[in-house]
Amino acid sequence: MITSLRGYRTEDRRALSLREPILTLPASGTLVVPLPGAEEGTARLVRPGDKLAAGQRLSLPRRSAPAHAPAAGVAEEIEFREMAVCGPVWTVRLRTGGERRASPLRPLPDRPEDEDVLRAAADAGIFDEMTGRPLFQELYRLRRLGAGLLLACAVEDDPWCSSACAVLREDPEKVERGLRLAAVACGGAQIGAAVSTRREEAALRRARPGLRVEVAGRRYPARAFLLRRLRAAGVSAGLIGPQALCALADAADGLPQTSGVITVSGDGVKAPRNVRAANGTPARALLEACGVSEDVSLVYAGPAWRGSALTDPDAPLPLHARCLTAMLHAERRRQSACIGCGRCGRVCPQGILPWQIHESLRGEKVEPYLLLNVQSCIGCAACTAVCPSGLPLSAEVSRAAAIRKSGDFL
Amino acid sequence: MTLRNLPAPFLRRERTVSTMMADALFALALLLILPTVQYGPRALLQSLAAMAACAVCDILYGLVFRHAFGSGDPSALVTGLTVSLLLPVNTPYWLGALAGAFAILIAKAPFGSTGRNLFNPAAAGVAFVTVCRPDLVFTYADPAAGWLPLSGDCAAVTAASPGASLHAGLKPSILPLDLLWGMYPGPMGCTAALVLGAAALFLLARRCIRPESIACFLLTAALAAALFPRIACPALTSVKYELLTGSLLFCAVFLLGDPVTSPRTTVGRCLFGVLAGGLLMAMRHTGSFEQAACFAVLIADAFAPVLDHAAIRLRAKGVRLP
Repeated sequence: MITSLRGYRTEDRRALSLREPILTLPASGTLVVPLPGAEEGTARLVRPGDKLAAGQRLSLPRRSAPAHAPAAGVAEEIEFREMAVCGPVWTVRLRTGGERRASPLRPLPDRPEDEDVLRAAADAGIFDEMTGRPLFQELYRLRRLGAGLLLACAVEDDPWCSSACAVLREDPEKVERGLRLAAVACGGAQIGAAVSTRREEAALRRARPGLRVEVAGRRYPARAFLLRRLRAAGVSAGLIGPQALCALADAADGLPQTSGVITVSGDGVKAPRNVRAANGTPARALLEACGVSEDVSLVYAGPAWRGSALTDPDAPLPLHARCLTAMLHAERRRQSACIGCGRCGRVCPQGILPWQIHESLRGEKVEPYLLLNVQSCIGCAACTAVCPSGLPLSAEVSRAAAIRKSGDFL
Repeated sequence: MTLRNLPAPFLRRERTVSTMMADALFALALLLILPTVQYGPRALLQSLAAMAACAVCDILYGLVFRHAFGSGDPSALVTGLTVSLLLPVNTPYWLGALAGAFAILIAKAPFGSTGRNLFNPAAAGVAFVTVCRPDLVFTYADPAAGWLPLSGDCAAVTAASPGASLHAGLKPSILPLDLLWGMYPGPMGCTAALVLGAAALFLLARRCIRPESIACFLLTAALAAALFPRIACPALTSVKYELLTGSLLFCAVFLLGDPVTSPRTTVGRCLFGVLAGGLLMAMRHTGSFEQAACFAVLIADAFAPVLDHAAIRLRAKGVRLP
């Protein structure tokens, strides 16, 4: 983390994991596949003991994307558990084995309509790795907002994560194909890509000469600042993860999304690289594939600002985890009183004063009109990251937003 | 592999309260170099006495009332060093220790220690000994007299300070270079304007202090000095002597710049600087003490929460403020 006069930027540690091409990991012996949104019993389509084919649909949720079996095998157990990145969710424990493949999904017609693309995105169970939400919901949202420009987002704010960049480097043509389909779903928006550095921009221009490329600044959170810059220029833009776009291109051929690219990195990993792993692969399998030190004290899945720490190395990872970071030394965040340095307010991209929210929530009576601008928080946690007192400021801003929304302040 | 369960975010913090205090200690230590060269090791012993008193009081208070070993950061050492630099080098060691003890036991710890104190502890400690023993606080050693004895009375080598001359309506006679390097009688760490400037730049670069309150304070003081000079001289000469002599510059950097006791909004900090500058110059004109910066800072500190509250209310009403 580097604090400068213009906010702060995360230290770039991604070069190591980008040296090698993406490694495809064979399906582990046991996979724990999450079934997001399958709280109702009727939404879960498998029972313990069922024999499953690769690509078979496992759930049919009403408000989320369905899950598909990443490999053939036997469903051993259906359980409700806490899962990294996903939170509490129903899961299927799958013992892999066999070669059976389910029949492919219905492919898209040659000239698809917007509803065709949205249905394909929903049927294929695609998740946008940048937001963690189902892709069809993101596309609906962007269409509702009238996005005029869709960008494949390879802008990484996490210091260690490079999965989006690696996917865009590996197959920019497929990403562009996915973008064109997403643009159809959003009502004919323009397409392009967003990258972090000029070097990546030059590489992408060489690979796809006709594609519009936007370079995000280095100030964290770069994606929010990029959207703001484009909005100021009169362009309403939407960002979609390259993995989701590749999966959308595959969905056009009838293939569901059953795997994701995860950056395995951190100072406790001997050979950091990007790994393509099946949905529900245990973290240990990824760490061992890249060589992990026995001295690591912190392993977390997901981006550094909102990821989940893993206490069990065998914890499964969902396909949209994006990164798995192993650190040798975990920093103990010792909390002390606010010293009023004002760093939290300076780094906030939304102009919130987190120290003031902290002060307001400390009082016996919360005055709602003093919880200024809290609804606009984008959850980047820049305030928490820079606080020298170690205060959980972003959690307090979220709490203030919840208080203001609920009206529970009388 | 034993894994720890920690909450997000997992970004390593660049700065902590302790590293910020360490920066402040370093900047204050820079100010000790010239007094040590001019007055000998007595300057170091003065500082050590005040720092030791602050550390002991901090630890004792923590053990008795909070069942913890001190406040957990080096802020007590910063307070001790600040107190010693605001006092003359020839004062008895117990005076700095008394000011440090007052700062920790009365002005800081009862409010909840670091981050919760309303008044700057060092300013409160110095103000306390100024009221109790002004004869000791305003008796300065002459830098031309060489190294001072480590123990015993230093009354034989004292000289009138430029602050006292200004207070009496007389123009001090100091060469400009001496004024910049602090070669004149005055508080131990407050005379070397060049070193103070370097310390301020260091703290600004490390983002330990904010420039708004300091700039407004200095501008207000300069304006008051130019408009209402205490001595019969051109406006610029008055500004030069008012700003560069006494503890004004030191208080601007280390007391007004203290993020804990200064307002947290930009507008609040600007008003805070103006208020402190106005108060200081008014006290210099009408007060009975030649150095009154600590009192001005303490009064301005009391207004800091009010200024912040007013700025937040204006923002709540939709007024766009920086």
